[in-house]
Amino acid sequence: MSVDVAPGRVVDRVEQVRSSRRRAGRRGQLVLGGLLAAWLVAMVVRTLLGDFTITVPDFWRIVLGTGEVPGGAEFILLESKLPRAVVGTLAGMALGASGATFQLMARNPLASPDVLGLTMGASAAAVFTLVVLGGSGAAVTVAALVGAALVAVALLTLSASRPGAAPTRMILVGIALSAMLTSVVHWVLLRADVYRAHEAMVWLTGSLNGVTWRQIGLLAVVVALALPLLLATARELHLVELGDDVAAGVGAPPGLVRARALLLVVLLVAATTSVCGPIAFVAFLSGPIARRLLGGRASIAAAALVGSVIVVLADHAGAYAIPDVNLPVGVVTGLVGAPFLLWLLTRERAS
Amino acid sequence: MPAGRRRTWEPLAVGLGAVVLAVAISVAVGSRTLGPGEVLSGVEALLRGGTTDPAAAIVAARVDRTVVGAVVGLAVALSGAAMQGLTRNPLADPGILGVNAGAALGVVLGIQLLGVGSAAAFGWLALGGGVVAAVVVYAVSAAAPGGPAPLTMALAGAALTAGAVSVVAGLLISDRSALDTFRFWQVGSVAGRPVGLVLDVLPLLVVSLLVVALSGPVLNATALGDDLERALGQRVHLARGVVALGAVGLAAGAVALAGPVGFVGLVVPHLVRLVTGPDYRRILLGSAIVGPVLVLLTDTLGRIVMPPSEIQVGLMTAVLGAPGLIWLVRRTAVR
Repeated sequence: MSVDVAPGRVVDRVEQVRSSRRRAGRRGQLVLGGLLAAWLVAMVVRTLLGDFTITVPDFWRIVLGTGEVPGGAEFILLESKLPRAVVGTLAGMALGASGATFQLMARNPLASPDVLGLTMGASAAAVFTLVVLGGSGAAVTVAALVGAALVAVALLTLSASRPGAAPTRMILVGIALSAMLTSVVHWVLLRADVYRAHEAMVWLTGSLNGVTWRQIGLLAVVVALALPLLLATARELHLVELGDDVAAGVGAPPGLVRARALLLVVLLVAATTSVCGPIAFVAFLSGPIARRLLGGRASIAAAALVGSVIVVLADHAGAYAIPDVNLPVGVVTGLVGAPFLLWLLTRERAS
Repeated sequence: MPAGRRRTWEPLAVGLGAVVLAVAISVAVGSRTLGPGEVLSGVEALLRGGTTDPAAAIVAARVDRTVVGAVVGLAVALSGAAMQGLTRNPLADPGILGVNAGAALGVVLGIQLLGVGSAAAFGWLALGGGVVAAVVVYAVSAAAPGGPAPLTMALAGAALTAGAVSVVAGLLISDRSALDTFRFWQVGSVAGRPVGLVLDVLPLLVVSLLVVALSGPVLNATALGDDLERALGQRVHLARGVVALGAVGLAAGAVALAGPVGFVGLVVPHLVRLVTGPDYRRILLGSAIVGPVLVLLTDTLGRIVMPPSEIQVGLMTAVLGAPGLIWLVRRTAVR
């Protein structure tokens, strides 16, 4: 189709495009700023409010160590509230960014690492290592990494497609693999003694409870290394989304870009899962929410922030929403995520 | 038509022979495998009412789980066949469509919130949960752009299963003893289920079985498509609703009896279809034969694959059945 327009109108069009892009850019900055503010609010709520309120001056006194605060506030802040808020942030960022990356690659909101079974692979390997092999700490993390990577490889070979193509087949293969891995998890639970099994079942629902500062340090290192790389890869992924030829033409070989993105996602998902278990639906939810906030544009950074807001707030709700009931964060995200997925199915074409 | 008759009778005879063989294997094989003589003397001792014979004790336990296994296999295979026919979805199965998860959630809610303790009530609780799950999954996929495609249904089922798991976890997480019971219950198993349990769920199973067994013509009409079906004068919606209720009832009964046994309902009708062709009257009959055989053989395999411990039949069917789903996905051009 040829476009015949007078020269003057071409300038108009250029101006139109320029201004609309500027608007989108401004909206992007606004959304990112808003999400950052939302995350800050969530952090404040999580660390200071709840059954045991901590005042702002007390918070600084404890964190900076400039004074004594009576009443066990120091213990509660440093051993429960702060670590949970921090690990929630890290986990949410990792899961949100991973989910949005997969959704961008597959051009399908349903192709997130949790729906595809990557999280389940990490969980099954981690639980197996924990209960049957008696491993702990780094061994569990490595096992989770191997589990998630194996599922990724199985997904690609069994659905006979490169990352990003044929999402329908890949999703169905993912559902099959998840079912298989779930039964592995159930089998492991049957072999464990009561206390181990209970511990493992709480972990399997996705919980921030009892996370140590050492684990947080480990997760922080992984996120600090992998997330910036993923954000850089995302720029090239946007090019790949335009079409393989275009991407190759501007120096972003699609195969290589996808492989790098896949590797980073596996790393982030596995590290997060090995620390706090499979937190349901965060990877799936964050991308579509960020996209809606941005008016249809996909952004990995925004999805990462959305993820951290979701996890920190869900953890707070799980801990304090019902008096005397302490729900793991994964129960809350599962209760919110399942209806959202059902709703999304009625709105968007699955294939 | 001798050729046609032979085509009907030969597979049927082979199938019934397979049932007898599977029952015999299920009674004889296990952590202590019995010879034919021991089985016969054990059965004889049981019939006389004697329990002193050690072989008789083993036979008694194995007869119980064989009966439960055969009933569960029959129920889930027929349920899967009916669901595949009703939804025109080759990937329909009580597990994949979330009906098993809904049924399990119904039982847990009944135990935890209503304080229900009788096994007879479990069947009806499971039916309630299963019906809600089936309605939600079907309504969501019907509302989806492009209609109820296999992928949408599978995803809706997966979402529902994940949500049910969250609710169950939320209800049980603070109760260590309930959680301890649940980790055994969430795995489908036919071991340690007394035959009396079958009697408790029997009314539900029999009614559902009758409905589904007679649903061949409805399913055949459904396979033709909505327009042709209406032209042929079938009362589409009512008939389909009744059959769907029957299919869910069979799945719910199986869940109440043994816990979730997945993938049998998916795989069996496809295996049967390879022999019978597309006529649903034959597919249903074949599924009723192959389902028990498959569950009994899988259960027996689970007893001997990792001695001295057993692998529960629900775990075995998932590990063996998931590749079946992948095979189906790769073979058929699923939209």
